[in-house]
Amino acid sequence: MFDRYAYVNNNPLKFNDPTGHEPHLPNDPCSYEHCEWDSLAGRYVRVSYVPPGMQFESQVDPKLAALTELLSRAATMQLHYTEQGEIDFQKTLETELGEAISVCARAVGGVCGVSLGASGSVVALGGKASADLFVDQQGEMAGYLTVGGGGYAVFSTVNFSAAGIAGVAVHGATVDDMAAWSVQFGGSGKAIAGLSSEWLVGKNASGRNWHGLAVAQSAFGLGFEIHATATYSHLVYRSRGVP
Amino acid sequence: MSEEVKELLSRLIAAGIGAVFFVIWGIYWYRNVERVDRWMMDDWTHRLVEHIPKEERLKKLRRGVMLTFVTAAILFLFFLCNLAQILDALGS
Repeated sequence: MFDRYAYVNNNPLKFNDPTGHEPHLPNDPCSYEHCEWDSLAGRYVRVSYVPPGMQFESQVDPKLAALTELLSRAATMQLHYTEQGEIDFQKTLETELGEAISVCARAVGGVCGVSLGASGSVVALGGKASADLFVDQQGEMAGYLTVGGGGYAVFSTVNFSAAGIAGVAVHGATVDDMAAWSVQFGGSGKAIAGLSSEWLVGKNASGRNWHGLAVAQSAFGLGFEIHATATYSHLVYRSRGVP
Repeated sequence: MSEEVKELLSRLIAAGIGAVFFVIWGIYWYRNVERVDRWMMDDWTHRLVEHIPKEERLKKLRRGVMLTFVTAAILFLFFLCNLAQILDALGS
């Protein structure tokens, strides 16, 4: 027998069928101009509705793009060989590692780097020493020896870290700006190994401030502390792009 | 000797001294891990590590101190790069 309301599942009070293809709830947004016929699915599907004048080009997050490029470079990093078949360590260091870290530098808008070193304190006074490798947005690379000291508030009898590695990100600086006095505020906790973080504030030769963040992993240490220190970084290496 | 070579030479010396310092520093602590372990066990920090057998603790500390040799290796790399730059500057 012919069913007059089959097109709305025999429930004309609940459904309607504005598209002529399937039942819809009256307030179903998948109707009229919000719908598009999907030939693969064989039915109308909801499409996103952008009011006129609100269209904009989709843009990949630059930080995400930088991270993707960094990972891609890390995966494809290779050593450079000279014509004589020897490894050109300087080219490898500056082009591969330099460019990879400069991706991070572009993402933070300044300088990225790694810092390896040691720190410790006796009662309330302490010091630190590290070897730093920095790369800026232009891919310029510089190495520094950093030493300094300051006040420590220590919550254990002994506090020291003989070996640690830190990732450093500094905003608003170039590698040459890192040859400067800077102050660090931070803390750490370690028992055999541990973690540390610091907020860095420095000033370049022309007096402009930069600031950054360092997160470190101590691989050999003991102690719990918070500190405020001042350090000076001495240049020990500069890539050939010196202006 | 040009100013550039003098500057590169001072960087070379600083990187070399840093590399030697971190090698000595690493060797010293590698040989004194027992002392660090004793400090750790004499303090309240023993609560954090006493579940780890002593041999394992010492092994972890020895493994950790290897990072000082990585630090020395990076400084040695700076030393070599400076050396290459000095040779370039002298050759040109």
